[in-house]
Amino acid sequence: MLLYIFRRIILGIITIFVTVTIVFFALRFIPGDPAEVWLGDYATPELIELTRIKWNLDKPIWWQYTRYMKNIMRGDLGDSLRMKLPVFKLLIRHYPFTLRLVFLGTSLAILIAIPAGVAAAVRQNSLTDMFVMMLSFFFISMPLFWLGLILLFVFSFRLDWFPSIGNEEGGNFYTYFLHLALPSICLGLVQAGLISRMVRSTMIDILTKDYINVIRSKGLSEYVILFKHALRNALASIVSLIGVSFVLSLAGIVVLEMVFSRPGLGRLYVTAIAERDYPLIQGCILVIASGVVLVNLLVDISYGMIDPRIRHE
Amino acid sequence: MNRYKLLRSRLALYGAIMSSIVVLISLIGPLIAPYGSSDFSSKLLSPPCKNHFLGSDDHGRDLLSRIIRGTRVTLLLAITVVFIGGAFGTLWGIISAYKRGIIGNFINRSIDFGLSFPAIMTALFVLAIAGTAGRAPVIVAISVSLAPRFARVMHGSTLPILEENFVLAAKALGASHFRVLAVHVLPNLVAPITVLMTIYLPYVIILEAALSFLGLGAPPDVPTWGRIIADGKVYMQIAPWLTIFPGVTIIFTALSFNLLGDGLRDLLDPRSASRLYRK
Repeated sequence: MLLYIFRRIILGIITIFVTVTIVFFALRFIPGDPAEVWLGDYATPELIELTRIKWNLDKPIWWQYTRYMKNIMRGDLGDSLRMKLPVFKLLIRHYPFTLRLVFLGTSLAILIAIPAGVAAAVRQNSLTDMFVMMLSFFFISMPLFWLGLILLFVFSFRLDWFPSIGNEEGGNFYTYFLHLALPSICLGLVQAGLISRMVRSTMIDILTKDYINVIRSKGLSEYVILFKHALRNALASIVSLIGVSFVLSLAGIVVLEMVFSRPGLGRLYVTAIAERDYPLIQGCILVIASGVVLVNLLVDISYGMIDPRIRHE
Repeated sequence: MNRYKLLRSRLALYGAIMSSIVVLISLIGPLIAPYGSSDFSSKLLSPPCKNHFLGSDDHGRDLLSRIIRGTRVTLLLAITVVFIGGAFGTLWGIISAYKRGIIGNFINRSIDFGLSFPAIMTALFVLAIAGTAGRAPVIVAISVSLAPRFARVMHGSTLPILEENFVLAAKALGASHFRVLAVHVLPNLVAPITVLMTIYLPYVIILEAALSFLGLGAPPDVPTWGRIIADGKVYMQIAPWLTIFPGVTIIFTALSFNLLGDGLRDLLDPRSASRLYRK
């Protein structure tokens, strides 16, 4: 078991490392001069040269790369070009907003999707099943940001149930609820649409297995069959769905933070991209990659704990 | 089972009909749009009324006409992306399944790597490299995000084909790698490829809409639906119809292709695909 965890951790670290490397070189192998891109309209030949020297762009790329990597080890992620602040500080300041939304959105999605998927699988081909399938179809055909805009319009602008600006910082539970409700519901609903179908197909796969038939013919109640036997076997897949849901949340974060004006990592990333702020882009990707790796690691570890076959592979 | 299968196939039929409507509109759009593309009326930001069925925007352009015109643009863009991303992704997946050993393993891992990030983040990153000017960067960015998703499925679909007897026979007869892949493997992948393309079309449309919403999608002169929503979002409070109606169009189109794709997948079910293999 420990070996399994250890191998997963090493794999995770390598993944983060490879990601950062690829991002670093990709950003610098563009046609054209990074300094020219950064300076934009102010680009004069002298200014370009000064910028190049200041940011070490005249040094060989391997030199830049090793310097960057060494700095990361020390926690120095460079300074944001536009905001003139250390990238690390920016990330620390903004990540809680993203974390809260991701957590809430994923939880809501799982809370909706698992009962819905299980119900649809158990009552296959019935009204419940069709209802769940229709709803999930509907929600996955919808742009997330559009749903956010509509919810914002109806519940915030028109009905005034929720605030449309500001965020939950330094407030109490009620403030948190007010500011997080709409984006979480938005995220949760669309994700639930995607995940409920996966839950449904997993459950159908299990419920048609032979051992379920055996215990049913033995006379166990459907209730016991479902909760003690079927769900236990589905648990592994469901846990991996949490990992999937997390990555989907990240995708949703990027647009939802713009819709609901939340100062999180998603908005930071988009702004960095729009302004070609290379250090910030690299920093954001580092954080996001670490998050994805961490969640996958936790999922893999739970997987190993649930299914003994996995940890002895 | 029968009742459900009937409903499923009926849903697929609806999907087919709806998709045909969308394609039809994209073809004959300019003929049925009530206003021309440079018709700026004096009614700015008007809600749905007699002259403007869906309202008008801040330049006085009729929203209905704009959406109708946007159909062709959006669809063309999406089809281009699906073809490019799909082609590369298919190649990637096939090669990763075909090549054994360390290289094959490495390529397989690279698919997982490409898959581990949400599509929108990869697309944004590619835009950071490729720039945001013009249509090409958007196409490249979304194709790059799409390719691993195709590759993963293609990898899974190719593996069982490579175990088939006719592949072994072809190899034994001395067929080159290219010939084996092109003549024996690829024709049997037509079914999953078609299904994937149909399923990912709405995905691409929504992704492009999201990018336009962030200001990094299609350039301002290209009226994709995402662009229309992005242009209208500023006036959300006073003219919500500018965002509502294009969104509804996207939902309609996405739903139609999703239903169609689901139906196609039922039809070309891989579980019964053994009888569909061509030698």
